[in-house]
Amino acid sequence: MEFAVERYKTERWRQHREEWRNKIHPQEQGQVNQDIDESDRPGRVVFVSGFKGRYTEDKSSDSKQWYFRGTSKSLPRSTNTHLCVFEHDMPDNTNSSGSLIFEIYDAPLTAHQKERTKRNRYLITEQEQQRLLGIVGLSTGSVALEALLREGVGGIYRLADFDSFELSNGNRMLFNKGDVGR
Amino acid sequence: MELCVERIKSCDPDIAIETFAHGLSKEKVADFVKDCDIIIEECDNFLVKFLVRQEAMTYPRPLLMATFQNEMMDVERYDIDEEARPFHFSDDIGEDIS
Repeated sequence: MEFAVERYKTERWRQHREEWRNKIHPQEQGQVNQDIDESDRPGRVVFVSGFKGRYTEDKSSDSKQWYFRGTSKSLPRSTNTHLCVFEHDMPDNTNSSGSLIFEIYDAPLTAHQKERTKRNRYLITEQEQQRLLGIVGLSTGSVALEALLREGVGGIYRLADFDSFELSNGNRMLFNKGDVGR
Repeated sequence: MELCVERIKSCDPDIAIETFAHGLSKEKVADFVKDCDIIIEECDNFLVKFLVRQEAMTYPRPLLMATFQNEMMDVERYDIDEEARPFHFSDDIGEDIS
């Protein structure tokens, strides 16, 4: 994060940002500029219009930064990320929509996450705690999910399943009779 | 699905969750696999199993599967092994058996 802020401050980065801005054209609601190259990471610059989300201003630092946490379908990779926002036309409140130009980072762990996974330190790295895990099928997958969740592996979970819980799934899932049909 | 989402939220509200509530169809598999860091595949539909592996091979992403037989863990590292094929398929397997 500090690296990004430093880069933002430098003149070269300002030029870079200007170039990006020229690349960006007004787009349809919620669409993302697809010209952006994946290889630019970390610190991918992305423009999103029609963005809806929860964002907060970091009042502790001098530079004006806005952070976003959560997922959005309009993002290229809906991540548990910090978006270092350069430009925005959103009013100053926590739930709003507008357009943004931002840079994507893996979000640093929250205090709660740090405390919860304290005993994993040096065993499971911070990077591993921010990974995107995809789980296909949530019958036995839910047990894997439970284990990973408790260990604190993964910052984003992508789940796919079409079924609901049935009593006959009880032999391999951690849910109870009261959860049938959900 | 609902239950799992609830479980995650109760354990760690900071975790972001994406759901494919209608399961994976042929069209959705690529979207699912594309930017995963790890795929854990525990699905009972063979077609989906295969499609997920195919996409994992394309992008390439590592894939894990736990099976109940002999407590076997299936690790398919498409990300580091270019030769890896779905279900460890290999032409040599006939010779190995004989």
